[in-house]
Amino acid sequence: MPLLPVRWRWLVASGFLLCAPIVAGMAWLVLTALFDRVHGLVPAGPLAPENWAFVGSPSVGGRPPAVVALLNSVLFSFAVAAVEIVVASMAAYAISRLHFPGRSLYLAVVLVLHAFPAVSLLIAIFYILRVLGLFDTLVGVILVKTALELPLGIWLMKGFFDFLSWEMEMAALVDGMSRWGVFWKVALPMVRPGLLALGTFALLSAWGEFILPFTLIVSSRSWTLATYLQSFLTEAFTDFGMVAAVGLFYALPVLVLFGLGQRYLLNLYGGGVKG
Amino acid sequence: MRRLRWHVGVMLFALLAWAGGVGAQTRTVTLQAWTIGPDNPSVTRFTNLQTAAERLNRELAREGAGVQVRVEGFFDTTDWDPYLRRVLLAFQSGNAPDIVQASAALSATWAAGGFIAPLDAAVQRYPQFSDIIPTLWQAVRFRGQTWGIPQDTEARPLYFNKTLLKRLGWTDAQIAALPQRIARGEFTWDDVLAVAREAREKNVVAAGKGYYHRPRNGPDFVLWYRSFGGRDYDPQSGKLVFNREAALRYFRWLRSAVEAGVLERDRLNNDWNRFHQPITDGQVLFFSGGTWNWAEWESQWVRQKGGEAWLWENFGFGPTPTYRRGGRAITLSNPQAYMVSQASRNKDLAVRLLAHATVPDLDAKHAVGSAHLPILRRTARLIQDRFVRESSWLSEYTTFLPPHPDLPRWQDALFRGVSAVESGSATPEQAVELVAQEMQRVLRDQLILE
Amino acid sequence: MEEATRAAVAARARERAWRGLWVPLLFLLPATLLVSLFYLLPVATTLYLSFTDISTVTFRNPQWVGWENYRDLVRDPFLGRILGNTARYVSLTLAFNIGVGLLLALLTSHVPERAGNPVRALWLLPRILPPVVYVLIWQGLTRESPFGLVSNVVGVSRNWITAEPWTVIVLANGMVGASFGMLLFTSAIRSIPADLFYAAAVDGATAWQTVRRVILPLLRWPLLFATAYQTLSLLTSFEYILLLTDGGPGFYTTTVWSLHAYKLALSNYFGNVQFGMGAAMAAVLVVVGVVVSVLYLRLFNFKALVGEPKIEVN
Repeated sequence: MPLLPVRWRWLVASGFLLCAPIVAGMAWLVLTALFDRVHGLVPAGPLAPENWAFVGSPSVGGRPPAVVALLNSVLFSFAVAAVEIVVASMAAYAISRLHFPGRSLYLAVVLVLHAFPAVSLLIAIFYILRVLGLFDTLVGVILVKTALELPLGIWLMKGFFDFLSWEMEMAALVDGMSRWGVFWKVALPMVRPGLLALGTFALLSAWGEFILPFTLIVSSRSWTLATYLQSFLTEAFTDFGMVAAVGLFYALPVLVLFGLGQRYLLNLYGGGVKG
Repeated sequence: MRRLRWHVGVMLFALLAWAGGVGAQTRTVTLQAWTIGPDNPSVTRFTNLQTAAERLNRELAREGAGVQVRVEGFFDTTDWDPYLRRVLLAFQSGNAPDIVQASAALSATWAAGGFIAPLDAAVQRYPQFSDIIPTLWQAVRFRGQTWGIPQDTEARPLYFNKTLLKRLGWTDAQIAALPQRIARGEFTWDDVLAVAREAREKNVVAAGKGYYHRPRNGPDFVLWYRSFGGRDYDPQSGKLVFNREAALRYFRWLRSAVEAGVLERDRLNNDWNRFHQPITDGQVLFFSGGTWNWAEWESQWVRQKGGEAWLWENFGFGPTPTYRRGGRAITLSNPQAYMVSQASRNKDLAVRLLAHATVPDLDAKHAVGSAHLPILRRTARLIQDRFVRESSWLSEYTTFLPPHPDLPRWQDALFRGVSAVESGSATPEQAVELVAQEMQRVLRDQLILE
Repeated sequence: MEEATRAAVAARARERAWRGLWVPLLFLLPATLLVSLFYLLPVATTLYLSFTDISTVTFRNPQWVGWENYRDLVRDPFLGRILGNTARYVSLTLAFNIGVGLLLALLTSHVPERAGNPVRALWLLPRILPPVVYVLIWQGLTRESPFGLVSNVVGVSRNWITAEPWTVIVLANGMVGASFGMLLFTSAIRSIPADLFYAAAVDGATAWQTVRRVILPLLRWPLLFATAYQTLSLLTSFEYILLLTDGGPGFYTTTVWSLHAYKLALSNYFGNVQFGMGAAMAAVLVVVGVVVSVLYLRLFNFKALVGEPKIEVN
C-alpha cells in the first residue's frame, strides 16, 4: 500500500516508542544477569560472574542441578517437535488426500479443538495421567503437549498439502508405490517448508511451556528450565542477579533464534494466525 | 604326594575362609529423607541427619553389624505448598521417603491416612529420646500413639521496633518493660492498636506499617484467634471448636486496624518479600512472627547493615498480647517432627538414625543456627547464644496446635474469614458467619459451634 | 456360475472398500489416539469429576455427590467477586489486545518495511519468550527504588505489582496478546488492493480518512475474528496471572474464574485439595468453550475451510 510522505517521520518515531517497554525489559534482563547491582537500567556495581555459578551447581534444596533441567528442557522440546511433525503430517495427509467416511466430521472436530482453550482441561488431564501411571514423567508431559498442539499442527500441514499439486503422487501411485511410501518418500519432502514451520512453532512453544510441567511433574529430576526458574521466583529472599542469569540462560535459544530469523518468525506466526 | 595334597587342602581352606569373611562384607542402606525450611538457616534439619549417619555408622562398625547407612534426600527452601503436595503424592503412590520432616500437627492427619508408622516401641528402645522436653510429646501423639520424633520447637512472638517507639517518645525503661507488661496482660491488643494509631497520626510510620503479620496461611492464625479468647479444641470429645464471640473480637480488631490505616488491606496473599523487606528496613512498628525469623533476618536481610547487632539495637519481642486486661499472654509453638513413613523398608534403622540426631550438640547447633528453640533438656546448658537464651522464657507461655486430623480444614476456613475481613469484602459479623458455615460444611460432626 | 462370479465380485469390492478404510485409518491413528486421550476424554472426565467429592484424601475412591459441588459453588459468597474479576480481566485485556494490535498494524503498514518489520518483530517477542522469563522481567522492572525502573521513572518507590495489580496484569497479558491482532490485521491490510488507495488519494482523502473509510471497513471480519478468538482464549487463560500475582494481593483481588478452579483443584497450603469443586468450575469453562467454539466456527464459514480431498482414487 502507498506509504506516507516523509514529513510523517514522527509516525516512525512513535512506532519505535511503543517498543520501548519491550526493549527496556530485555535490557534489564541482560544487565541484571551480568552485573552485581542494577539501578533501573544503569549498572551500579561491578560485573558479577558469580551470578552464573548456578550452571555448575549440584542438587540443592529440592532443586535439580541446572544441567539436568536444561537436558530435560531440550529433550522435552525436541521430542514434542518430532512427534508433532510426524503425527500431524500423517493426519493432515489423510484429510487432504484421502476419502473416508467421517472426513468432514473429523476436520470439524479438529477445527473446533483448534479454537478450544485446552488449558481448561488441565484438571482432568492431571487425573487421567495419574490413572495411566504417566504422572510425574516427562513422557506423560510430552504426550500431553503434543496432543494439545495437534489441532494447530494438523490444520497447518493440511494447508501445505492442499497447496501441493498431486501429479507426482499420482505418478508414484500408478507406478505401484504403497500409500505409505508415497507419503513418506514423495509428499513429505515436498512440504519441507511446512515441516520446518511446524517444527519451529512446536519447538518454541514447548521450550517455553510452564503450566504443564508445573502441574504434571513433581520430582525434581524431571524438572524443566521453566519450573527450575519459577522455583527461584517464589523464594523469600530473591537474588535478582542470579535469577536474571537463570532467566537469560533459559531464554537464550529463543533470543538467538529471534536474532537470526526475525522475518522467518514473523511469517511463521503471521501464517499460523490466519483463519 | 600326600604332603602336597595336604598343602593344597590347607590353601583351599584358607582361601575359602578368607572369601567367606569377605563375603560377609558391609552393605550400604540408603535412607531417603525429605526436609524443608523453607527458611534457609534451618538447613541443619537435613545436615544433622547426615552427621547422625556418620555417628551411627561408627557405632554399627563397632558392633560388627555389617551395615552402613547413607542419607540422601534434600532440604527444600521454596515453600510449604509444593513440598507438602510432593509428600502427599509420594505417600499415595507408595514411593514415600523413609523419613519426612514436617509440622508435628500434620502427624495427626497423616496418621489418620495411614501414611506414617507409629513409633512407640522404637522410642522406648533408645535412651536419647527420654531427654526430650515432656510437653513436646503432646504435639506428636494422636489416638494414644506416638507418630513422630520432635525435631525442634519455636515460639511466635510479637516483635516491636524500638527505634520507632523511641521516636514516639518512649523511654528506654518503658521499652525494656514492654515484654513483661505484655506477658502480664497490661499491654493488650487494644494498646497495640492505640500505639500504632498514634504512630500513624504522628507520621512515625507510613500507612499500613503499624502492624504486620504473615502473608500466607499458617498456625499463627490459630494463635491470634486464641489470643482473643477463642477455643479451638475440646479434649473431652476430641472435636474441634469454633467460638463465634472470640472470632468476632478478632475480626473487629482487624477491621479497626485496617480502618485506622495501621494494617494493609492487602496484607495477605503477598509474597514473603513484602513481609521481610519493610520490616528489616525498620519501617514497621509491630509485627507478629516467629523466633526463626531472627536467624533469617540476621543471615540474609540485615547482614550488610551489621547483622545481629542491628537486630538487638532495633527490635524487641514479647509473647502475643491478650485481648483482656489482666489476662495471660500466650504464644504458639508448632514443633517440627521427623516422621517415618509406613512404606519404609528400613523403619528400625531410620528411628535409630533419628536417635543419633536427637542429641544436645546437634540440637544446639540447629537452635542457634536457625533461631528455633531446643527440644532437649540438656541442651540449655550448651547454648551461649543470646537470642536463644533470651527467648526461651516465651516457652512458659506456649500452647500447641490440637491433634485433630481435620485441623487443616479448620485453618483454611478461618483464613478465608481473616482474608475477607482485612480486605473489606465482608464485615466482621458476616465473616464470622461465613467461617462458621464453611466449618460446618467441611467438618460436619467433628465441629462444636459456640 | 453367475451367482458365484457376482458373489466373488461383491466380496472383492468389500475387500477393496475395507482396504480402502485401512489406509486412512493407519494415517489417522496416532493423532486420533492423542486427541481422544487428551482432548475428548478430559472433557468427559471434567464433567464426571465435577459430580464427585474427590479430594486428596478420597482420591482413590471418590463418591458420587451429584450437583452438590455446583450448589456449593453457587452459594459461595465470593463467586460474584470472581465473576466480576473475570469480566474485568477479559474486557480490559481484550480492549488492549485489539486496540494496540490495530494501532501497531496501521502504524507499521504506513512506513517502509525496513522500519515496520523491527517494530513488529519486537512486539512478537513477549509472545515467544518463555512465560516465566517474561514475568521475571516484569518483576524486575516493577521493584522498589533504586532497582525498579518504573519506580525510578515515576519518582515514587513502590512495588508496582502489589500497588497496581490490575494494571500490571492487563498490560502484561496485553503485550503478549497484541501480537495476535497485529499480525492478523497487517496481513489483512496487505491484501487490500492498491487501487482502492489510489482512488482515495485521487479523491483527496487524508491519511486519517483513508484509514477510516477504506481500511477499517475491510478489516471488519478480521476484527470480529480476533475479538471472538481472543475472548474465548482470555476466559480460560490464567498462566500469567498465576505467575505475577497468584490471584492476590489481598483477598481474591485478581483471581479469575480459571485461576480459582486451578487453585481449588491443585494447590492448597496443606496439600489437601478440593478436586471435585475445581472440576466443577472447570466444567463450566469447558461447556462454555465447546459451545462458543462451535458457534464461532459456524460463523466463520467452516465449509470454505474444509475443501474437498485432492485424490479421490483409493
